[in-house]
Amino acid sequence: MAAEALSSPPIPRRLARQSGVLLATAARHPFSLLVSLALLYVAWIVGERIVSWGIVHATFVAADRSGCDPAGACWAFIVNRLPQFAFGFYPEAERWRALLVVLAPPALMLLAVVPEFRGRRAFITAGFCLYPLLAFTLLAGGLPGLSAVSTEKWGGLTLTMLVGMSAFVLSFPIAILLALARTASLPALRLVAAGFIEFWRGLPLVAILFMSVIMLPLFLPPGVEAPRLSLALAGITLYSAAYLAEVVRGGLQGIGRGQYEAAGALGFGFWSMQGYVVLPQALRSVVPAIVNTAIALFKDTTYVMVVGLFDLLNIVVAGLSDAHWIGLATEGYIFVGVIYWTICFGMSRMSARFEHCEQRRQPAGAAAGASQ
Amino acid sequence: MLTTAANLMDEGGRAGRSGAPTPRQVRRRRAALLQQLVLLGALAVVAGLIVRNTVINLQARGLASGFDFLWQEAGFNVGFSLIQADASSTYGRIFLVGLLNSLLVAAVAMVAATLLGFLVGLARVSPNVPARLLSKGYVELVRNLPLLLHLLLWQGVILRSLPTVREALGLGGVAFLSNRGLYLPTPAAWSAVPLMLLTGAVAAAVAGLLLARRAHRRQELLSPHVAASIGGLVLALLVVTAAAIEWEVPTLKGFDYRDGVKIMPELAALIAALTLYNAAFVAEIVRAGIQSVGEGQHQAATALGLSPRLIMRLVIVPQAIRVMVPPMANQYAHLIKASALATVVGFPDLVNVFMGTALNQTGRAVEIVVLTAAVYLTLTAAVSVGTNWYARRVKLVER
Repeated sequence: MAAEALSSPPIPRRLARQSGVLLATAARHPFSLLVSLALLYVAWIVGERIVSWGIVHATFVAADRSGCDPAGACWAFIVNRLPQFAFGFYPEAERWRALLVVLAPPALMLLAVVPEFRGRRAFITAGFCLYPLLAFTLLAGGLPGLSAVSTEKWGGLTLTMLVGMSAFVLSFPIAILLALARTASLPALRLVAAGFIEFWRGLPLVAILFMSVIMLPLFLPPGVEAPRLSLALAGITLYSAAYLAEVVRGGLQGIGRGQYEAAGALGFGFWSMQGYVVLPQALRSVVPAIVNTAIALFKDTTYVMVVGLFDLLNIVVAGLSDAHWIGLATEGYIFVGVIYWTICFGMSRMSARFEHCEQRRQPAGAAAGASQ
Repeated sequence: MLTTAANLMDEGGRAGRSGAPTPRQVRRRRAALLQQLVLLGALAVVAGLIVRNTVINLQARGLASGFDFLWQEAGFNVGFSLIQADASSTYGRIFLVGLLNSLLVAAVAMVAATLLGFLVGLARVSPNVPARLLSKGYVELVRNLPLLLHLLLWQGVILRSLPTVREALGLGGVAFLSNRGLYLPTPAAWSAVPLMLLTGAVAAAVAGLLLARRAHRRQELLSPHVAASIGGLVLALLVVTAAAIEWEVPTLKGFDYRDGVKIMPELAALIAALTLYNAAFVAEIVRAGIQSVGEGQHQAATALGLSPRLIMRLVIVPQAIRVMVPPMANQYAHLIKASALATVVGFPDLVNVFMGTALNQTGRAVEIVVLTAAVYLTLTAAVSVGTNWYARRVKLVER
């Protein structure tokens, strides 16, 4: 019933109604109509200039800056450096490994929208959970058949993907443990968890990255050395775990006490109660917030620039000072911006779609629960 | 009804306390105590190991420790500072300079982002279709790009669009604008007359605010004549004060301007980026707040004959504010922390001068990291205390 009430009229009718509303608004507020027309005109001028600069007069193939048409964008800079922007300084013969690391996450997400097949869910889950381990092993090499590549050579989109995905995946179990500890009955556990979470949430990520690069080597046993990338990743993971823990806690607080009582009555122990009854519901209810955290984390991976790692943004910024391609900051920033925007906007759309589906499912599910 | 496992178990414990504890409850309590002791013991072992490793590592690197360096001479200049500081300043003073710079950036960006965010948020729910589309486009464009990209973009735009020092733009011959910054005149000396005039201006402004508050308490508006005359008086006093002060005008000497105060372009880039980025998030908070107010409120206010502007100001916004306070607190905390990005563009904020330059020079890693962390933890805690106070103030009083 609710679905019928919410379902929208067919598109032509909706369009007619909307334009009718538009006309009525325009007639009632002539000043607003004028403003609208002025805005439309400005949008047209700006759009025309962008198309003329970015596509019509743009140069896509050139050896260096002087080969570009000065009236348009010099995309040749991006085209020439694309391998570097994607894979950093990774050895050319081994780039297929970096390509696999970059393509794996979007491929896994695509699997989530293709038609159902047997074991899809398990495959996607295992893929995401094992991603940090597999990606690190693949990139580092040192196994028979894979030559070793030091972490200093990793960079570009590969590094961004690796840091973002690894920090998110690794922080998830930590976040769940922290959230459970913060809502636990033992006061000492609650206090420790709360202190840990508030500490990492209260510090700027820039300071955390400095700290992890300066302080973590001091904390390690003498003689143990860790690459800068691992230190930075450790800092980002703990930072993201603290934020995720608060999100998970929000989900835990939405679980009614009846669920605990029922699970207890069925003889569930603590861990099976959490694993089979509480967490599945709690996590499902906060999926949008989790995706928001993931988006924020993905944007925050750019901060690794301050400890000298060459992620996508930093490698493009470094490329801007190339003497052959001087003065192409606009093109470089637009390129980076389009990539980040596409990924972040895509993720937020996905989350909105999920929320929409959940809301549509909810009334039906509630009704079924009531009738039983 | 919301309950957590913790509440549930607490309640179980309380129920037991009313009568004599059963052996089962006693066993449970003992087990809980033991678990906590084991946890604390394990934490103590880890902490001990870390301290031991740190001490050994520090000794191996020959680094001194202690907070005495705060009174030593730092020996470097800071590009921008609100208080007197030069190469002979102590590290303690450098710490203060960095802290004040961080606070300045955060405070300006906070106010600007709130104002712009409110404007965009109101446009998001306005009946004007182009305004809605435009504000939606702004929000979606801005919040899906990393803040660091915004910052680098603004730095590039501002630095490229400004002239070199030699061709600096003169603003009325007293202020100059170049790609090294905005040069403003400073008062050379404060004599008694301008001080008195300034005190008068402040007093008039305070009196005006008090009058407005009294009127507000009686649910009236300050009469336009009174408001205009007080505003005019304050403005006139300020103008006279400015004329009475002897100004030190920046002058071009060699490769740079001397005298006066220089505002770095990095500061402008930082504030622009922080403001525009956070405004997009504030706008979404404002939109969510306004949409959380029931449709009935709007209809009731319209039925009472209030104009759309008054409906917004008197009915919708006061109710929306309550919903907006917690997410706004998060956004403010985020903004304060994000101001540490200053270090990327080279603006001397706390992280840049203290965790960067001072740490490199003294090598007191532990002390400096602890001090910096303490500052940010205090600031974020202060934001949450402040917003809790405000939330209590605007809370709905139920009768």
